[in-house]
Amino acid sequence: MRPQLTTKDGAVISLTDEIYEAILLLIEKQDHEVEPVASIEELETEFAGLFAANGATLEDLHAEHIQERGREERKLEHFS
Amino acid sequence: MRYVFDTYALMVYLRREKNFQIVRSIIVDALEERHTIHLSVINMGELCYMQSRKSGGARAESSLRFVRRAGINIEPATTGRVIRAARLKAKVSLSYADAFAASLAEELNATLVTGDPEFKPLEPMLRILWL
Repeated sequence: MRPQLTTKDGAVISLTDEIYEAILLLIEKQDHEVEPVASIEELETEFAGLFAANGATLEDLHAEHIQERGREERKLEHFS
Repeated sequence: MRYVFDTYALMVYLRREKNFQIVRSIIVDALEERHTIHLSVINMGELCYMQSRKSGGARAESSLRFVRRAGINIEPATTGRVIRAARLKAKVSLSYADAFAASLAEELNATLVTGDPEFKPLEPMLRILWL
């Protein structure tokens, strides 16, 4: 299957394998170019929004793990 | 010294939960290159989808950038790591992502930082810093 690029406005562009690989390499390179901050204060200032109250909570994580176990048990029952 | 964070440890810090200062001080030391922090990409994925589900994709992207800016090493899920995590998960009742955190800590001979009681059965085989 030929790789495709979907733009933000929904247009779909067919890509050659070479271009697809080049885009992946570019994304990976950018991803690794993120440098660590110089101090914890810089980190906490830069990501002040992440510390706000509307993010995922430990209760959400706990509920997710319970749901995961439930799904596994249902699968095991189904296939046993 | 090496530390492995699970998703729980990152959430404790981001949510300013009890003992978040422990996570914070480990990040401070890592930024000053006194030790290293490692995070399985599977735990990174878990943090991203939890954040995305709760507050949208932008928050998930921000979480990924946060981890990189905090100097945390994101460890890939190689075939060997997937197999080791699977073996562990077959023996112990853990979430899939937590199996990666535990097996990564074992592989790197690192201290696992968590407050998740799911890891209790692994205390004999892992060094765990409880939050």
